[in-house]
Amino acid sequence: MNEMLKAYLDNELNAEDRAAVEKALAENPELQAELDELQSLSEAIEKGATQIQIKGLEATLSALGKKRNRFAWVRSPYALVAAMTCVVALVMTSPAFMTAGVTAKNEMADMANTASVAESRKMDYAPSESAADAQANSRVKQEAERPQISDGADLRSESKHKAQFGQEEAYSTKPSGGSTSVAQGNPRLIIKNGNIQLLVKNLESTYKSVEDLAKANGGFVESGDRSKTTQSKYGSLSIRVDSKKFDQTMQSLRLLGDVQSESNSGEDVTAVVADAEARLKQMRLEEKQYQEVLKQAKKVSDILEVKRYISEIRQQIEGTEAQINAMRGMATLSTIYVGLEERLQITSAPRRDWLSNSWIRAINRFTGITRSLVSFALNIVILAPFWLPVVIALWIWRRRAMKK
Amino acid sequence: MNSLTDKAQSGDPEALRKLVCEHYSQVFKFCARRVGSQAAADVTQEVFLTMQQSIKRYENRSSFSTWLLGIAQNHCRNHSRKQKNSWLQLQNWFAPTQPFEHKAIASVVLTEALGKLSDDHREVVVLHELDGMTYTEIANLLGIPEGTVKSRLHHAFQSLRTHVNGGTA
Repeated sequence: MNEMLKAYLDNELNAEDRAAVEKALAENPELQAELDELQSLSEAIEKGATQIQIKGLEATLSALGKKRNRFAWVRSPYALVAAMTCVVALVMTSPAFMTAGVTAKNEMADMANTASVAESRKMDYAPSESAADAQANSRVKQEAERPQISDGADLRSESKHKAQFGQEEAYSTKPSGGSTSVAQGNPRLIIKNGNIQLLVKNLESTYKSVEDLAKANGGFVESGDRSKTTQSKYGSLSIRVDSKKFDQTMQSLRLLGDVQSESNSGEDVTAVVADAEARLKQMRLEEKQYQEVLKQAKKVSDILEVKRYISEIRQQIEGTEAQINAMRGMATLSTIYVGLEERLQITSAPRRDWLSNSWIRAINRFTGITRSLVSFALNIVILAPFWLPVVIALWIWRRRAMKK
Repeated sequence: MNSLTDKAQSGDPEALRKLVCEHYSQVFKFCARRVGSQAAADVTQEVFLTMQQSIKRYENRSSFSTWLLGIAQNHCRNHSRKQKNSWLQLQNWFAPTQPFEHKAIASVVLTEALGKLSDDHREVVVLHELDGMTYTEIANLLGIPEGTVKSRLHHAFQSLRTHVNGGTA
């Protein structure tokens, strides 16, 4: 029965086996516990899985599209319209047409007038139409591409981010009813994190720009690395910037390249800091009381006991202070992860026919065999001190045997 | 789906494009888990170029995605062999960004347990738990009976349980 548990969990059993497992589960609590463990393991594996960011779709499409784009324009209705326009323009500007009679010229002038009026009318509407079309097209394109290339985790983080920032908006528009001093008077402490992936034209210069941007916004570069594959150059930086300039920095980053993906997250630690402050206040009060007790204590044992209490509470106070300072520091400087990608020119190897392939393979084999022979000969020469004495000894022995 | 595949087989470039867009994410993740995210873009592109060349040979015997992942599997194996990397390196597919504890399973212990799985067991665990493939699809991809997939997964998870529970399960 245990062997069927995993398959049961994965919904891979037939109805009969499934019923049998369910019956056994109802009767045997140990089996149920094992099932729970298996489920926990599955969830833990999924939770710890490497987060993968999808990239390279456009490069793949362009590599695939080289063949199909050759005569693609023939199928386009716009190409047909453009071709017809060209033919009409050629006919109208041809000398034969231009040297036609006055009547024809007058007719042409009328036609031209009509055309210009129509054109000017068109001009009134065209910009707004084209702008609207462009917007609609880009929106449709974005909508179409998003589900295909975004990771599930990204969507989850986006929704989380929306929820968190929704909270922030609520906080900013409505005064908080918290009882702690931080919640009442001081501004809220939000730890902000951002992630932006950019497609850039020149990785080196953009990398430098991101570094400069971090410094200009009161921050620094925490870490950074660069790598290169046959298709692209990649760079990633983790920068810390003044949280007041978080939005401004993100806006500047967007201008450095084509944004491939972007996400933000915020964690409100106001309540946590407020709690820590309240605890700190209480501990300081206790410390003060112990100090009073210490002044009144006369026995050595009492003094030592009270000093021990004071030492313990001092440690707790310092720990809490450090925790508050760390959170304030994280809220003061936001972290932004910047991913940069520069796509290199894709060069695909030319396709070869069977004869060229055979020729290249034969040459490779010839080179390989030649190298092996040379290597073997070199080994023979280098190892001569080992085999040459043996051969000479054999030769002398044989010669003596022959003489006898 | 089938009609899209049929159109792509008959040489419709738009259908081929849609097919690539539809499966890119799945194939990229599949490759990234096997060759690492840096090399995944190159390998994925090779997979789709092979798909374009050999789509006419696809015969509907298995689902299209299984057929495509079969191509991806071959490319990833070739790449790993060329790079002299071991197959399905743990850091490519299981790397908790922060140590976690999920229902009394610590990430460190689980990482250690996953690292001790045999190649066969690791393969089915990744295919099923992360690539989201069914037993039938895994059997088709690896060319083994479905019962073997079931058995390998059972033994892999028993091994993980034993390790996570400190050898008591």
